[in-house]
Formats: sequence, C-alpha cells, structure tokens
Amino acid sequence: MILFKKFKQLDKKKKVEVIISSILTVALMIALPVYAWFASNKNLETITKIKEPGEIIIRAGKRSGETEADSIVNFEMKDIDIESIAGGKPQRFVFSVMPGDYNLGYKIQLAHTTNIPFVYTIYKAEAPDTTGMSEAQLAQLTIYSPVEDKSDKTYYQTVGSALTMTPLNEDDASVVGRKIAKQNDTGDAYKSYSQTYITGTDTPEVYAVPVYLQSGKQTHSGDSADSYDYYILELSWDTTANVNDNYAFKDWNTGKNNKETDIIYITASRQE
Amino acid sequence: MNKADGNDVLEEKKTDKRNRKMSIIKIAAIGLSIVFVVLFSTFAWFSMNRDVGTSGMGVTVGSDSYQIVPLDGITSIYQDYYNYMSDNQDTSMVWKMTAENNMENYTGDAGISPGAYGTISFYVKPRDASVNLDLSFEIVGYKYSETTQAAAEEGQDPITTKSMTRVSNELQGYLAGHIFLFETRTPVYDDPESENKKIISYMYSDPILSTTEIAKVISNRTFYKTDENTPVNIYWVWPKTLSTLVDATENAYVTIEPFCENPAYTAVVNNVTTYPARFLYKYSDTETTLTASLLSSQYETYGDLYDRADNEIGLNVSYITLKMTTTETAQTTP
Repeated sequence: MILFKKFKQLDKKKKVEVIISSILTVALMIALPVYAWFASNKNLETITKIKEPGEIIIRAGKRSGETEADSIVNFEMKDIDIESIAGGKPQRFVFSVMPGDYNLGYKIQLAHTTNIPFVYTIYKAEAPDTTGMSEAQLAQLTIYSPVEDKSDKTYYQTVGSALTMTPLNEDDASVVGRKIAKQNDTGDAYKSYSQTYITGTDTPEVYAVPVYLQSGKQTHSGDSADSYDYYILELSWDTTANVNDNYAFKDWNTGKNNKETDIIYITASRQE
Repeated sequence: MNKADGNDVLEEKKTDKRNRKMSIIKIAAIGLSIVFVVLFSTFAWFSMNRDVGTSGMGVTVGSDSYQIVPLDGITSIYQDYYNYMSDNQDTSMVWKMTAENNMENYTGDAGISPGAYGTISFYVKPRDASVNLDLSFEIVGYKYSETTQAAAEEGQDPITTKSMTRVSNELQGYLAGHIFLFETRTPVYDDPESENKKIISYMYSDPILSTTEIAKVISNRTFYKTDENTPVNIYWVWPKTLSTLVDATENAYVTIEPFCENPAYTAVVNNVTTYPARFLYKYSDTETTLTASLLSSQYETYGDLYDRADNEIGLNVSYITLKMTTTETAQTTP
C-alpha cells in the first residue's frame, strides 16, 4: 500500500513512465527465456515405420472362381493307384506356394522316405481355361478338388520342364540298386543313417532315412492379381527298383500283409 | 462545523473515492497488460510446434556459432504417431524428408525392412569461421497398439485407445545393431565404362558405430564455410544378411558379399564381435569368443541368429524414431 501511495504522489508524466517501464520489464523477463529456448534447438528427429515380416505359405490348389487357394488340408495324396503308376502312368497332385507381400524368392524342399520306389518330380503348373476342351484333352490334365467336394474339379497342367531338384544326401550307388539316403558318414553336413539311427542294437530300416531334395530359387510368376505359384507333384515309378534281385521291391501287388508307407514333406523357405 | 466545511469533507471524500477508482483502474490496466504479455509469449511457444523450416520462408534456429537447417521437404508421413507416445517430451526440430532423401517415410505404403537403404540429409551453417560439432544419432523403437473398450453407455461408440510403447532393451539393442549409418557410399556399376551404366549395389565406408553407448556418434567434425549451408548426408542401411557384414563366402551357398572394404570392414566386424547381443538373436556371452572366421565357418548358426533378430524386430517393433543431437566440441586452442 505504501507503493501505491508513492505511486499516487507522482505527477502524471512520471506515472506513465513507471507504468510503461514496469510493463517492458515484465515482457523482457518472459521473452528472454522463450527466445533462449527457441535458440537452443539444434536437434533433428524423424519417425519411420518398420514393415512386418513377410510370410511364405504353402496351400493346396485353387478352385476356379476363388481368389485364395484352399488350405493345405485339401492337399491329399490318396487313391494312389500303384499298379497304374508301375505300369507307366504317373499320378499327379496340385499344391501352391504364396511368397508373401514382398514377393521374395524362395526354394522348395522335398523330403521323402524311400520305402516305396516312387520317383518324385515337381513341375510348375497353371490352371488353363478349359472351355471347349474335349474329354480326351481334359483327361491329360491334373484334377484338383477340395476334400469336402470331390465333384468340384479344377484342372491344372504343367508348365515347362520339371524343377531341378538337387539331392542333398542321396546315395547314387546304393546297394539296393535304387536311390536311397546315404548310409555312411562321408563328411557331409547331413547326418547319415549310421550316424542317426544305429544306436546300440537298434537298426531301423535303411528306407526310413529321408532323402532331401532342394530346388533352385523360385520367383513369383504370373500376374499380380494371383498371389500364388502353383506346382504339380508327380509320382512315377522307379524302373531301377527291381534290378537287384536281393533288394527288389516285390510282392506289392500280391495279397500279402506287407504294405508300405512313405512320408513326404514339402517345405518352402526364403531364398536370396 | 458549518456547511462549507461539510462540503469540503464531502469534496475530500469524493476526491478520495475518485483517486481510489483511478488507482484501481490503473492496477487493472497494469494487470491486463501483464496478462497479454504472458499470453503472447506462450502463444509463441505453442505455435512453434517443433516445425521449423517452412518452404520458402526458411526460418531456422540455432545458437550463435552454428545452425542446423533441415532440407526443404515435408515431415514424415508417420508424424501423427508421436501423439500416441506418453513419454516423448522431445522438442527437437522436425527432420524434413524429400523424395530422394528420406527413411521410407515420405510417401505411400512405406516403411523399412531388411535390405532397405537410403539417404537422409540436413545442412550445417557455421556462423563463425569454423565450428567443431559432435553429431549423435539414436534410434528408439516403439510398439503401436490399439485397445478398444466397450462404451460406458448403450448406444455410444466403443472407445479406442492408441498407444506407442517403447520396446524392450533387447529390441533397442537389435535396432542399434541392425540399422547402420554411414557417412560415405560408393555405387558399384554393372559396366563402369559404359555410358548407360547401372548401379547394381553400393559399398559403404566411414561407419558411424555405436559403442558401449547405443547412440552412434560422429566426433569432432569441422564445418568451415561461414554462413553457407554445408550439406551432411547420412546413408542408412539395414543389411539383409550377416554375410553383408562378415565375409562368409567360404560357404558355397552364401551369395551376398560384404558391403564394406577395409578399413570400414574391420571396424564393422569388430563391432559385431564386440557387441554380439545387438546382432544375434538372444545371444548370451558364453565361453566362445566370436571372431570373423568363426562367424563365417559356422555361418549356418550365426547367419540364422542374425535373421531371427531381424524377425524379432519385424514382429515387435512398429515404428522407430531417429534423433540427431548436435553439440559443439570443446575447441582445443593450439
């Protein structure tokens, strides 16, 4: 209150001076730190996005009219007519690979046991337009139908020659006369039958060791509307299977209780 | 007391009243002007908004000895995601991006992934004859998530909360290891002699590496041209495979060669073997001392660990910020 009394006692000119100077002082007090804060900004920053990883998916064939291939459950290798295969008529099955959003290169690996002397071949495939095709022409094509509806048929044909599959652990000069997995340690990266299976007195069948075959790099072909690459897996007969009488694959077409089973794995993985 | 005296008292009282009114009005006027000054200065602070450097206007900030000037470009297309961070108190300038200089945050459905590379740039403008700067780069990873809660009342829309959370230290380490910054980049041509030569790849040198501290630092860089914008180009790259860093071509299946030559190659390899937890998935210090030859001879294991760390980044990090902090190096007088 003393300040106010003194303030009132000043004459008008002085009063105006005091008011203006106090306002300016306050303004200065605020402006200085604000400017200093502006001026100290010598950093740069930006933000960017990390893309999600792409997926490689293996599925069954695609029905005509659908945009996505059917799930892998629909890839069935049943009704294999071994007599007709051995007679020289191979059987074919359709599967597909989706390389993912980024269209990366990939390779296909086929691993199979060798109980039955099949020869496995993989071809690239496509679904042609079948309008106007005769019965004879359709008979040449491979049929894909989903599990729940065998009458819903889509036709596929092979494109070009077979994929070159490089065997990783095949024994070329095996004693059984046909190609099975390597039996002995040859210093390869892949363990052989003798390293993997023979422990103590346990000596499982040599045919139980799977043979691994890998393709070269595949890139997504076809138009951008279809994100799948189609393949046909062909089963044909190994004609060398009966060369060596001691190990001949026989009696499969007789009424004996010696049916064989093979397991195959199809894998796709990214390949630069 | 006569009537004149009574009038005098009345007059005095009136004058007093008037004086008091005046002083109240004056106090109010002073108070109001203070309020206005405060308001305008805070308004300046709000409108500053870290966005300095508009096209054409060229507003730049800096201290007395130098300025950092962004390129004449745009802010990142992911700039909005800053709004969902709870911890980002930062007030750095916005690093402007152009069509040629960006971190895949310029346009479209962009983003970085293993194999991505590019350039980001800015200018340094010394005010004095020369200035020595330390440039420090830090990458911070965030995970973006949306949570939806049912509305409190019927008929209202559900409430979506968006948030950006910092990822774990392990992932911050992978980011520091897998995203490289270089000062120099040389193109490799398919046919150097031809006029229509095409660039098939790049070789990088002068790496900006992180040490014990995750931040990557360029120490004591001198800028000379007074009052001129000196461009600084930072080449960023996310190597696709471990064989890009360490020579693993002794293995027949390795097709990708290192993108550095000595001395940068040695510096990069040393960084990998010294801080393997930043490059390899869940790598813990065991008795094995990592060397370049071990990484190559057992490339199946270590190359795969590098790829798995990449996968972890892809699955768990949504966005990253790249921040550059500049400070003046203390000058040594000769």
